[in-house]
Amino acid sequence: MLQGTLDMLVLKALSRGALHGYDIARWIQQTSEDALQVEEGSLYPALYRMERRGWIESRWGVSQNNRRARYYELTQTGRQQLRAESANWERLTTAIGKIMQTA
Amino acid sequence: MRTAFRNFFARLRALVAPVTVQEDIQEEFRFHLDMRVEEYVKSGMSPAAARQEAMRRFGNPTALRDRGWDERGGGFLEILLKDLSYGLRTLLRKPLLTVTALLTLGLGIGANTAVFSVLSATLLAPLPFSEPDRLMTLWEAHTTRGPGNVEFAPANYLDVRRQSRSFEAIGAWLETRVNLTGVAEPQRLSGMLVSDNLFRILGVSPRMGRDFLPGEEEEKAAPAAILGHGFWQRRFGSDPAIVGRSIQLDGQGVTVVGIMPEYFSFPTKGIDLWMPLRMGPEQAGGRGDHYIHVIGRLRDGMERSQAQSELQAIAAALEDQYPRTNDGVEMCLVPLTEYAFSEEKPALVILFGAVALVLLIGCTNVANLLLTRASERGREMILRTVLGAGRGRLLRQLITESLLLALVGGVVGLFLGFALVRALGTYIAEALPQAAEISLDARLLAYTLGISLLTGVVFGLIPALKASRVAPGASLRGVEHQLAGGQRAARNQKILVVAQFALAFVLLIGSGLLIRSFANLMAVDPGFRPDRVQVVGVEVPFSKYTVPEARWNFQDQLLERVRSLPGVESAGMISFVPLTRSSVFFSFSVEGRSSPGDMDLPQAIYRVVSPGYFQTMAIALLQGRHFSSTDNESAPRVAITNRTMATRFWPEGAIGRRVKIGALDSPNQWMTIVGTVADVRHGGLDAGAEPQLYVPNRQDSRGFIAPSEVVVRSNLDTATLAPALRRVVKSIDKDQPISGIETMEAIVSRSVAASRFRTLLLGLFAGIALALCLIGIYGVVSYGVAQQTREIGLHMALGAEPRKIVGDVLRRGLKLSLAGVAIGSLFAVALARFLRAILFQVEPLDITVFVSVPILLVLVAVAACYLPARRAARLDPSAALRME
Repeated sequence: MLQGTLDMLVLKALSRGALHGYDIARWIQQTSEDALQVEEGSLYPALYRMERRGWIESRWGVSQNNRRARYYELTQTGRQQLRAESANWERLTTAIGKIMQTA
Repeated sequence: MRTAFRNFFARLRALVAPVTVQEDIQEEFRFHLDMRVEEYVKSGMSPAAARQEAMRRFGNPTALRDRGWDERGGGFLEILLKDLSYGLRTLLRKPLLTVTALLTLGLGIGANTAVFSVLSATLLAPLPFSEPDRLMTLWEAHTTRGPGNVEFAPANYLDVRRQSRSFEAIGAWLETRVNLTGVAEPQRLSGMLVSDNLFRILGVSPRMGRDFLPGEEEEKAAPAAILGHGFWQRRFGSDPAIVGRSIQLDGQGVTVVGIMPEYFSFPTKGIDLWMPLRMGPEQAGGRGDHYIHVIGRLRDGMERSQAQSELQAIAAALEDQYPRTNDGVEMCLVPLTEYAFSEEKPALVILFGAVALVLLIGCTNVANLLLTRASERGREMILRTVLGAGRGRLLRQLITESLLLALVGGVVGLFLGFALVRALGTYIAEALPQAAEISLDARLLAYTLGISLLTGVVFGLIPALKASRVAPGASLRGVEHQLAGGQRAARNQKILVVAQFALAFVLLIGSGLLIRSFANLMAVDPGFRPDRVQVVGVEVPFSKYTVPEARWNFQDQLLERVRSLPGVESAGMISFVPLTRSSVFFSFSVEGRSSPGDMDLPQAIYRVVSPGYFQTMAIALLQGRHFSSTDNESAPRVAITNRTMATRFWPEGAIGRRVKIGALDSPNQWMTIVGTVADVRHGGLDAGAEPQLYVPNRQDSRGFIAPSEVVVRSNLDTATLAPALRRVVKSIDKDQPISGIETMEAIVSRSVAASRFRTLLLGLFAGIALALCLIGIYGVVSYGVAQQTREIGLHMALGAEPRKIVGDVLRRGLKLSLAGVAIGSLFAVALARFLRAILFQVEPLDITVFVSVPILLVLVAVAACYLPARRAARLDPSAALRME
């Protein structure tokens, strides 16, 4: 996986509301229809780093099966970051697409 | 901002509770794995296989946890710990430098801690009342009589209390002295007469019993008192049963209705009891005498300015209504919080500024030491850069070292500061009698911690920037070249030394001015000779001695028996001895000068004295005669004036002239002046000479100004005289207490306590500053000499005289100090005028001070440079040249 894309995927996952780490991993896995294989544990240092940068916030909550779980949520800065990264991604893929389409 | 805050707490948490952070991470991982296992099991895997697969997908939990820990504050922590232990080793490797830096910082921080602890106990001490910001003291201001706030006249107070709408309530207090009687050991008490709403205005209630009730200040209400905690403890052994019982005050039964809480005393410390302020119709209608203290609580949301304008309107209406008494009487507000230490405030603020300068000088010293070391650490820095440390990383390490140094310096400072406060304990108690107890509280600790950290950054930043500046492409072989960058360091150091001298100059000027001012104060002739004179208070109660004759007879009898005590030379009585801050002014009319309509009468300090008072105090009689026992109630009225009054009103001679108290048409009797005495400083040694009028005790029946202080000139010490006096008083009236005995010298000394205190402190701080400068310039010049060893050696080899070498080094120090003095004098000229408020007979730009301080500083600089200069001159040229 490309450097930095994990951050973007996590931000995207969180753009629909607060999730815990396991849900984030599953969302990425399901939405990509198992195409993206992430070493799941590496999600966590990434989450902590993004929290340190102020993109996301976390708090302890209760999961559906009644266990203590840490939930993550986008902050205002995080939303901006997501917008910026999606736009970047868009440009990059279009550009690469164009190149690859040439015969 | 918010993120920075959260990260700070994350780091703090990692620092304080690393285990909980680790556990947090582990719990999160466990949850993840459990969920995964659950899912696999649901899809048909065996639990064991499910767990294995989940682990495989997760990755290496230990490595992940470590990475997570680094992200969540742990990384910061580990670097911090590494830097700290490295810094500690670096400091220990150079013990002399470290100890010098620590002592310097300790002195600077200690001085700050000490002064802050005093501020904390005075200006910053919170008033123990509810919403103290809404409490305002109210004052009259007499525009025609000059500046300054004056207490209220009773009728004016009552009018304002009735008419004002800006205040929830307005109340009053008035000092009184009563005697506790009906007990084996009668005692003089400090009492306050207060309006019955005063405690409700302040928002405090008795800890036991009840508050005064509305209406309890009416004349017909039963006598009641609320006791102060200390008095209750000392005198009644904290017996709760005293509430509701009756005690004897001046021979009358008064019911104790309540006990105040321990923390409470108002308006000053050490009040024994409070009683309702009851005024008869005559007193309540008075507008001529101004002696009532007034306080009010602003309505919620009411602005001070609104209340002020309402007060002005009321004052203006009263002026129209009572032109005779209220002409020129305005009214104003002073917040209670400002009133409390208003007199001491300028000096305390100046001291606070002074210690800030001392600390700044200390910082420059330590910065200099570190700069010296920075150039020695070039090799280390290059090595670290080569090994991959970025400049930020180097900076961080160096700043951590500075902070470590500063924090240890802060601990040293805390100890030194408290040692200073303890050493100055009696001075503080005398100069600031109303200060709360100085204690090591959270605020003081936070302050010391705060300035320590700030100090660390201030002195650490320049050397850190310098040391971490490693030229790109620098190699270890190029170290020698790098080290030659010492020239640059030397320039920084010189700038710091100049700054130091400039700061010290400002402090020395300030201290010099205060010393001159204090010397002037001590040189003031008080008008009397305090040696061998002792003072004791004997206040006879009016309730018992209702007619004036009874009081006069008591006084005569008392003086007669005191004079016959063995060892006593003379004795007399006066209403208030000089320098005790009790000032009673009366306005008077001069025969042949004043006209009947005069509103703006001159005023004189008015004192009632017994025969023998002037002789006992050794107040010089300049003209005429003293009072004698024949100046009694049936003799013609007489008075004695001081020199100022005599020369101001009767330059051609005062004896035989007549004055009367009050307006020309007042019913008071004319008094013939029979003598003129020297000017006595009543208000303070710094008080100007004002008219003073003395009358004999048997010719004044005003109770509140009756002579109650006995002065005794004797060869006896206090321990011998006090019991003798107590026996004498008891032999006349067994219920009559006396106050603590004091020497007149102690009273004089106490009257200048505040001035002595600030002079002492500022002198001390200036001394520290000077010492730090000495160390600073010595260090820089020695370092310069050490750096130039080869150069000097070369000069000598080429035939330079040792004298020339010494001269060169001395000139270097001279130049630095002169630059400092020049810059400092600019600041000093600007700052000196702030001192004007606390200077006595010294101009802020006093020439003596402004000449002697520069000389002193330059001499110190030259002295400090002498050692390194001699060392330079004694260099062996051949050895110096061979040195690498």
